[in-house]
Amino acid sequence: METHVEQWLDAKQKLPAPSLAGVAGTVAFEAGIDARWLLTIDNGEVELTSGPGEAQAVVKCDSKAVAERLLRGEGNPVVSALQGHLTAEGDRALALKVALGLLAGSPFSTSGTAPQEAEV
Amino acid sequence: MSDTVSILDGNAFVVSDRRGDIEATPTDTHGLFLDDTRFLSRWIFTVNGRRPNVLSSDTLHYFRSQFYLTLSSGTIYVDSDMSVVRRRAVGDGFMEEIILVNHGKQPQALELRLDVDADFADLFEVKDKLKKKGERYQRVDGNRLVLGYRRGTFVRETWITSSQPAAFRDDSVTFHVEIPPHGMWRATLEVVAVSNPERTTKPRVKYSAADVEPRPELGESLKQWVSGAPLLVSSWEPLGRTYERSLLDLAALRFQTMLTPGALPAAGLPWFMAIFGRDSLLTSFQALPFTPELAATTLRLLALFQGRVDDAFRDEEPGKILHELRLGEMTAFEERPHSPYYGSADATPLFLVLLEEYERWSGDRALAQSLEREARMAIDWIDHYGDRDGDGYVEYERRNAETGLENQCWKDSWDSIAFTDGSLAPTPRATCEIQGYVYDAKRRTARLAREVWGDPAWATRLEQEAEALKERFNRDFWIPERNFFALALDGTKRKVDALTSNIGHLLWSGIADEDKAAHCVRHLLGDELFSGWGVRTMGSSEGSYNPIGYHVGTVWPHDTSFVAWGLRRYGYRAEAARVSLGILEAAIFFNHRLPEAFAGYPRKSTQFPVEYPTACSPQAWATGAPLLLLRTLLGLESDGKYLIVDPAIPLPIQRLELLDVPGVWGHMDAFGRARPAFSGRQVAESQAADALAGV
Repeated sequence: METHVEQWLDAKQKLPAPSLAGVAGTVAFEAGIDARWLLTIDNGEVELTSGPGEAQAVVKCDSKAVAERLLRGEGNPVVSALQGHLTAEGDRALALKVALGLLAGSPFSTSGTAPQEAEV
Repeated sequence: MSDTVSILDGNAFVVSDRRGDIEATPTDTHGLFLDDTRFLSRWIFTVNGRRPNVLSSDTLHYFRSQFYLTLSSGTIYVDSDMSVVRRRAVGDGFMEEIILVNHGKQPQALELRLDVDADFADLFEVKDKLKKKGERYQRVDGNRLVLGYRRGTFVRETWITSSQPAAFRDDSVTFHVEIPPHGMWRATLEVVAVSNPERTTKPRVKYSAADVEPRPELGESLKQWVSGAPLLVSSWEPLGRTYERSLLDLAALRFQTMLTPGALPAAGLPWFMAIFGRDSLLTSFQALPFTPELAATTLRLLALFQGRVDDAFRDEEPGKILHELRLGEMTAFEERPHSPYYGSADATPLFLVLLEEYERWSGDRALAQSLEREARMAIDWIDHYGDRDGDGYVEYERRNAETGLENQCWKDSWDSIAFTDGSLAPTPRATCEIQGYVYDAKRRTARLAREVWGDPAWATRLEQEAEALKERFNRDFWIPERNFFALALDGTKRKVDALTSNIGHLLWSGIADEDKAAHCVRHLLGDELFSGWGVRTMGSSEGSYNPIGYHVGTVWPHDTSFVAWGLRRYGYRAEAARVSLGILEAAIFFNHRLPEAFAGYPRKSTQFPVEYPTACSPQAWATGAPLLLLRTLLGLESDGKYLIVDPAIPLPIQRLELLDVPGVWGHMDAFGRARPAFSGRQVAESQAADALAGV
């Protein structure tokens, strides 16, 4: 069954993320072989896709649940890193900026809306 | 002489006794520490069951120490015929070389043993004597002893290996050796501190036995770093040594973490080997004419962590600059709020102060342009969250009553904000220097708004707000019957009327009216505040005064350096030179490494500065103090295009040259000579006249 975050994958929908205003780039959230999600941020909007695409930063999580929580803006990323749930590679400043920005407000939060049906 | 030997490399450090042994007890904070965790709490070397005696121990460099030991023969009539040398280098753990030399004519069969243990204490647990919640374990993996600690997914391990065959047990490493007559035995041990081992590939210590030169986290060698800083030429030899020591320590303290891109200096050994917002900002300000890139790194990193949410546990609010970032277990499990903690009311205006100073000094417009959003958020924090009751002043009161800081100004110990009778001021507290920083921040931000961000309307508004703040501050904080500014307004808006060094910061920020500044200068140079070495944190007649009280009577070199710079701002050149010289002379007594603080006893009665018992050393802003004092003596300023030099040099120094000062102008030289007469205003009272004679 699709998780809350997975329903946004490949919805080809840009979502407003005011807490990421001023940030631009792509961050990959990886959880072993279970998931590789790419969050592309541009001018206060984000889009979530899956696949092998390039990213400036990679956040390696020890489970899909950890990656989900980060994307939903639940749980402090610094605390997660210190507990050993995740590491960041590449542009760590971007990874941190995005993770902290999502904490301040995530379009994937469970209180948010569901994706719209894609137009055929 | 200190009974401990400390070496450091960024936020990794080792504290041992003078034999090189580590024996942590409730009263001895020995250990190998990294990322706020003690990775080794016991490391005791014995030869045939006996601990060698110390002949000599020394730190060869900030990261290396060596210990010359001998085996006692037990009687003064029989020479010992065995020398023991231990050499240690810290970095991601430590490397230790153990050498034994047999001076005798007989072979020696010896059992060499290291008793080892690791308690994996978080520094907060060490300070507060708390018990651990996870499980410790030990195992021998072939030729490696692993000491470990696990609490859920939080795993820390210490790996111990040896270059010589050894018997590893859970609590020891033992060698059985035979050393021939006039022979030698040598082993190199590596003690690696490992965080989350399953995510770490091939961890090693940073230095080998062959490494004699440090590799600080600078992106360049230490030699390049030192040679890249301005060259100091002075006829007063101690000044050169203090300057060099400051540059080296500033390099030594810098570190990166798994979380933080860019290396900032740790605040102070041993308790504050972490990133602090206020400390990084003030140290970067002090070091700006010498190493401007430090300010750029500080601004970028603090901007990254700028508060985004309203979080009472962390005292976080949108726009607020962090106070402290810790990496230990208690932070990881949110038993402490330092991930990061935001309990600082002055870091946010100081962020704006440094941003403008950096842009004006370096000409790096791109950084200022990239931080416009953060600057606006910082101003919003000042106006809305900082001024919580809308009275026009920034005040603080912790929302995390359990583990937050009661005082969120630089004097952050519990008893620092007190009335003249010694009673504590109720919260919320609006300390005076924070209002000065806000005034300065708004004026400086106005310039950036006008010249960099193209928003003249906002610039005008900020300037108007700053002027209004200055006017009401000089009205509301002034104590006419004592002729100085109150330390703070308390929760009921009463003036907290103790005389403190905080009034010197008002000169730095420029918020004090000229006539009131003149009174403050008399106090700062008067017997109550000026010890002869520096400016006391609190006047000696105050109810809370204690010459060995952390923030209520000691002298803090960084504090005095900002007071001196403030004196220059108001034109008190001779007075600035006098207090600068006091600190620079004190440095001689501390082997040119100024401690965090020293006792406030009067110079005329002690003849030397008395140590404060638990002062951090090295400490970042104490390391930065000589740099700001050099700037003060030479009167270095940037007008955005040129380097302005306006020296006021006290007599012992005679000649002072600073060559290749970096800035928007490229590199320029600054020269100054001591003069019998000085220009600028004199202190009206005669009490300062003796020391001023040579300026």
